[in-house]
This record gives sequence, C-alpha cells and structure tokens, in this order.
Amino acid sequence: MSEERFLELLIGPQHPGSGHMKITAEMDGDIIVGFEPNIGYVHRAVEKIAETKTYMQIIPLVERPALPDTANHNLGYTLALEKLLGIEAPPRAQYLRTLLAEINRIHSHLYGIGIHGIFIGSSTMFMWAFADREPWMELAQQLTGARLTYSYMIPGGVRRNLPEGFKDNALKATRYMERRLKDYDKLFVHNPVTVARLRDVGILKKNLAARIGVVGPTLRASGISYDVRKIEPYCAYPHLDFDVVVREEGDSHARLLVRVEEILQSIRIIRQVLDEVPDGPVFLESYIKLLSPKIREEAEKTQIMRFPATFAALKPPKGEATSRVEAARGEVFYYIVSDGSPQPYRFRMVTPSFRNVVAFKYALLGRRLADIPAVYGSLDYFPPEADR
Amino acid sequence: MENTRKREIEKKPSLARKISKRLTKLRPVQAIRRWGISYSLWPVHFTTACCGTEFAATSCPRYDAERFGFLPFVGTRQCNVLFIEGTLTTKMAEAARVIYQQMPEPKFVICMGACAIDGGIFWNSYNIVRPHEILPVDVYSPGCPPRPEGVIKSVMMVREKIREKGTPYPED
Amino acid sequence: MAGSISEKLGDLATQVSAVSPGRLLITVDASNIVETARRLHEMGFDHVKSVTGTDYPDENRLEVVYHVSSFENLDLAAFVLQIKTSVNRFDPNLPSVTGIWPSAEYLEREASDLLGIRFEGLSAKGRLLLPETFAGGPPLRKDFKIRTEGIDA
Repeated sequence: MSEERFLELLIGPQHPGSGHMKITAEMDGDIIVGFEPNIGYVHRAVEKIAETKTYMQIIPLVERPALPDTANHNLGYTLALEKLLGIEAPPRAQYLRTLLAEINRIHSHLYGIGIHGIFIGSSTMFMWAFADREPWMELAQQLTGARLTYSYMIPGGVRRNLPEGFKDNALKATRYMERRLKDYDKLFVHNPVTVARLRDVGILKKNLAARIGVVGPTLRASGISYDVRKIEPYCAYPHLDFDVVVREEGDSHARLLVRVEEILQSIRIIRQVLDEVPDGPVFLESYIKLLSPKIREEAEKTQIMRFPATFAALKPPKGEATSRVEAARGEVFYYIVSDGSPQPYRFRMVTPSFRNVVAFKYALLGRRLADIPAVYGSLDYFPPEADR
Repeated sequence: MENTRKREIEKKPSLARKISKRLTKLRPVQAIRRWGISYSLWPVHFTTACCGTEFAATSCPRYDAERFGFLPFVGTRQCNVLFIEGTLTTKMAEAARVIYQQMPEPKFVICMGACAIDGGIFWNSYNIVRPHEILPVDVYSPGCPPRPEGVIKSVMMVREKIREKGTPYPED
Repeated sequence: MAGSISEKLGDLATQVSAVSPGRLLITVDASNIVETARRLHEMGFDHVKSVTGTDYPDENRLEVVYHVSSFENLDLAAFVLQIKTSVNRFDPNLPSVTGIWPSAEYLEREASDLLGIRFEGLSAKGRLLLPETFAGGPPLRKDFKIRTEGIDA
C-alpha cells in the first residue's frame, strides 16, 4: 500500500523557468518526501577542452559557463595563472579589476533577484530587475567593450584603462541604484505575498549548511560568516572597507535579503575604488618590454592593450597553482597543473552552483509542491555553471 | 465495424468543406493568415545553455521584443517557435527533439549563438550535437552571445520568411 | 600550522609541507585516507572544496587530490590543504570520505563519472554529468582523444 501512496513526479528539462535540469520528486499527496536533482544537461566538457587550448585561449572558455558573472571567473583564473608565472599585477590594475568584479556582482545579483521574482509570479520584478541591469552593462561596455563577456583581465594586468567620464557615470548609476532598491523593497522584498511564500521555506540550518558544503549567499544566509574577500583577500580588497552580510534564519527570504544587501555593499566598494584608484601603468612593465616598439607606442597612445602574439605560446614553468575568489553565487576554485607546455596538463574548476546542487535535496524535504519555485529561485542555481 | 469505418473515410467531402477549402486558398485570406502568424511568434521556454541570459534580456524593457508579438510561453502545445540558445548536449538533444514534435504546426526553429551554428567555442567537445543535424533550422543568428538586437533581428527574419514565402498547411 | 598537522597525523602521512602562503601539501597512502580525514575533521576542517583526478599514464597511476578547508573556524579557513593520494590506473579503488565529509558526495560522483575511479561506500549510483548512453572510456583520461586545432584537426 505504501508503494502506491507515493507518486513520482518528473519535472523535466523543459519547465517554466530556466530549464536544463531534471528533477524527480516523490510526492505523498502534496508533501515532498524525496527530491533528486538530475544534472548534466549542459555538460560541455570545459575541463577536457582546456587541455587542448593555450593558456590565453582558456580565458574566454572559462567565462562561458557562468555568463551573468564572467568577470569573477576570469579573475580567479588570472590569479591562478599569475601564481604559476610568479608575477603580480601593478596596483592600478588591481583596483580596476576590483571595479569590474563589483559591477559584475551587482548585475549578477539583479539577475538572480529577477529570476526569483518571476518564479514566484511577480513579473514586474523580473522587468524591473532586468531593466536595471542595463545601466551596469552600459558601464561595463564603456570600460571593456562588451556587454557580458569581458575577457578584461589578463595575466599581468588589465586590457584597457579607465575611459574619460567613467567616474561620473558610475556615481550616477550608484545613486540611481540606491533609489531603485527602495522601490524593490516596497514592491517585492517586503511585499506580504512574497513574505508569505518565502518565510520559513527551504530552511538550511547552520551546521547542516556547513556540513553539506554550500557556498555563497546560501551559506551566509544560514549564519556562517564566510566570504573569500575577507578570508583570503585578493586584488584591492585588503585596502577597502566593507561588511560581510550574514543572516541567521536560513530560509528563502533570508537568501533574498542577503543578495539585496550585497548590492548595497558593492555600491560602497565601487565608490571607494573610484576615489582611491592610484595612478600608474595598467599592465606589467616587464611584459611590455617584450613587445615590439610599434605595438608599444600604439598601446601607450590609445591606452588599449591588444593581445600581442607573444602571449600565444605562453609557457609557465612546471608546477601547480590554486586560487579562489568570491563570485556572485559563491566561491570559485581553480587548480591548474602545468608541465611546461603551452597547454595545461590538468585544469580543474569547481563552480559555486555545482557545490549548491546538494542543497536541493535537503531544503525541500517536507515542503509542498508549490514551494519548489520559491526555493529554486532563492538558491540562484545556474545550470551551465554547475555542469560546466 | 471495419466496413463502416472504411465507408466513412471514402465518403466524398461535403459541399461546405469544398467551399471553405476554395476560400482559404484565396490570396487575401492567405495574406491575413500570414500576417497573423508573423505577429504572434511565441517561443517555448527552453533555455538550452548560456545564451539564455541574452534571451531573457530581450524581453526586458530596454529591448522589449513583446511589441512584435513575442511572448515566451511555458506550455509546448501553445508555442510555435523553438529557440536553440547555445550549445546542445546529447542529453538535451533528446529533449529538444521531443519538444519539437510536441509543438503544433506551423513551427519554426531559430538557432541562436555560435554554439548552435557549428559548435562555437566548444566545437571539439565530446558531448555536443549540431542542431542542424537533428532539426530543420530556419534562421541562424551569430554572436557569442548575440546581442538582444540580434535576437530581434532573427525574429524579423522569420517574419519576412513567413510573409514572403508563406507557410504550408499541415495537410499539404 | 604544518607542524601541528603533522603532529596530529603522526605517521599516517608520508609528507606534510607548506608549498605557498596558505597552502599545505599532505601526501598519504590510499588506504589511510579515511583515518586522515577523521583526524583532520577533529581538528576543525569541515568541508571538501574539490576532488580532482589527474591521469599520469607514464607512471601508471591516477593521482587524486582533495582540497579541504574550514567554514566555521575562521583561523583555519585561511588554509587550503591539498591531500594527495595515488591509485593504480587499471584498478582504481578508493574508500569514500563521504561518511566524514558529506560535502564530498557530488565531487566524488563527478570524479567517478569522468575518470572511472570507484569510490567504495558512495551511496548514490548512476552517472552524474554524462548521459547514460555514453560510449567509450572515461573522458578525462589521457587516452580519450578529442579533436584539436592544427594540422591534425
């Protein structure tokens, strides 16, 4: 009798939402008793392809899994490669890297909030959040030339200098964003319907969250104050002043509030970076000397570093390097093994969405069927990032 | 039982059916039909890979594809465009084939992004499939990812194709 | 830090050394991995960041590297331990550490899917990332060739 009591529900790879994941839910009436995610629908084998590409060609490859959040992934890979090469970028380049990383964090969190809104049914939130991503993508376009796939950080520094008028535009965007966050508060974040759907739904308790190894806002909403920017500071973060946003409840509403607060902290960081950015070169002097004089002159005149052919056969010394950065969704971990040839011997990339998959199994037990979109949106799970 | 079924199928079409078939072959009626289809292209909510980010941004207020009648809808039985956004892996290709068969006629397929054209940056991966090998594609849209203006351009190209060449009835 | 870890592990580990700021390398035998995991868990290292398998066909071994750190203890969180073991390439069996570190579950499943390593004690069966009908050997091994650019493309 008990076998006939449970219904196996297949929520397949096409579902109203972001798709590309299959879920097998065992239901007892309306209550979920078993929840098994089935991933691998976007497995494109980044790790295997990276063994056939040169180190500079891996930069666009590494950005593609996590399209809303490319600058942080790019930064992690560049830091690992710089550790292998044994170099360090000049201070101005470090500040510019931090600037782009924080701009990317803001519009990635807006993407997450927008998708969460439309999962619950608030399509106005989806429209507002995606419309407010556009000023930030315009700023990034002024700085790097692309809307989403920047490839801005290369080993040795960054590719372009700050253009004219950037600081005023960026400060205008920060003031606009602060006004809009107040509107979001009234419309969505503290809306009685949202609170009724999200409060006490999908709770991950503190010791469970630490044991199963979730990262990012999911971890910080469960009471653990873990942010790689404070624990192992990189780029300009040692000199900047910001807080780690932690909440104690661990439910979906707490995860949403952590994301909204982190946007405010990122705005604070951007203002500090724009005030304190030091003067100087944006690319390593010893690498500039390797270029031919004609390219060097052009780079100095236009302040744009074209990828010189000297990088095509970049051969780091034999060894290994690891690096970790805090992307918008959590902690990204890179591990490169080099054997002295232009291609890496082993390239390993662990993304935050892959480490958050296990949260699906624990957060939804005992809840109702209608809670699946509420929890799915709050975990900000991006399937191409998990499957790589 | 068998004999009555056979007799019904071989029955001659009625007068009303003959008149309606002749009327719908008229030029003005065909033009209105094509105008209607071209202004209501509803894509399935089938984000295949990372180009889905720009696909979602096409519906947002800045680019507003909905003014062309473009509404991403959730049920496959009510949609008539399939966007292959980005890379199609072997596991997802089976799902794409099933969804294509579930959509009603007349239906169109738009390939978005470099990965959908010939693999893109993942051309040598062991787990991907080229969409033109399993589905009949109407429009290809280059870019990695294509800008939202590029997505709208591909929708316009499908509309031109409908208005000029027309779409056949399923019975033909 | 390296001193206190080698003191705790005693002679389970064949080598404990600091390779760079914040990174420690511990080399153990495949049979001692569960006991090492238990002792490190008592010290406060509570999650696994990554389980990586590297194929060395010339030396006929697969090297498995566990990167381990801590969430709740902020002093230990600045360190990332690299625990390296080696298994035979033709018969790769390794005991699973999911009993001590549940966060290793999906990482070990991925390693067994893409490299063919068998983890004893891993409860979930079935492939994780590859389709069930995938033909051919484990993809991340060096003898699984994919097309490359250049003259042989």
